[in-house]
Amino acid sequence: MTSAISLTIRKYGWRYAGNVAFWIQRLSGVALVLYLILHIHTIRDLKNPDTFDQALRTFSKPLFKLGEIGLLATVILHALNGIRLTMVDMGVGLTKQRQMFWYFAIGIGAVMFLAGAIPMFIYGILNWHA
Amino acid sequence: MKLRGMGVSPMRPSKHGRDAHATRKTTMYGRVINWYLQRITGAALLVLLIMHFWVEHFTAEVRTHGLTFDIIQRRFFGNPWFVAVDITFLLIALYHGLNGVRNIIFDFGRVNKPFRVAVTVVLILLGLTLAWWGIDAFRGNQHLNPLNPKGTAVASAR
Repeated sequence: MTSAISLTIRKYGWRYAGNVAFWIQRLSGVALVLYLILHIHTIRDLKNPDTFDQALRTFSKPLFKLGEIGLLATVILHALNGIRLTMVDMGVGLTKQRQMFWYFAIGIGAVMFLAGAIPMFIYGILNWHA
Repeated sequence: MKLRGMGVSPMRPSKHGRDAHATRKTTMYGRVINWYLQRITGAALLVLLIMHFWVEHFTAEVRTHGLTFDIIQRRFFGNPWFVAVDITFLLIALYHGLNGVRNIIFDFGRVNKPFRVAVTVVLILLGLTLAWWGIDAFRGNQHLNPLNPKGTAVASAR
């Protein structure tokens, strides 16, 4: 189908893939730093075992488990795009960097995400025990 | 060919104007080291994060009981590597994250030296605080007790 929309996506999707990746890296990076701060704050509760177990019970609720799957997606995005950025900076595959964005994002990224998210969904949300 | 790195790539020409040119001689090596360290810690984090996700989500004890204080206590006193790896992980993650924030702030455009120093000092203090929170949760925690040979905590304070 060659509608105006698909033509636009085809044109600008490739052209700005590097720019999109650049902003993805910044936004996901900031999000991960904020998560890291909250995460370390929770670890402080180890000083009080009952508070700690209470916090972990809260975090095992489905909403938080869904959040953890989102976290996995963010981490994979940031890590793979980081590898791509390093390769570009080192000059590896420079002429193919836009294509690499899609290979990394859709190829490796989606597979890694599903490999992590499906067990997390089964164990964490459906509460199925092996 | 325009390179698009994290803004601190040593190969990328400075866009900070006069101020950056004035300080280039003294900061160039710092920038290169900064750039490499961000890559090296990133690679280390990739390995550590995969281990972390595996240990906290997919190991048998977590799958059956969920993560609890007792499991963490058993891990920490049953295997000293847990302490070593976790604290290394904490420090590397903090460096990579806060250094990334610093790079983003510095890349916004014209930032003068006092501002850069202020940002660096605030981020270092934040990093030290968070590192202390993480380490202090395990070190000198009177609720975490050594294990007896049966693998249960001795004289738990709970």
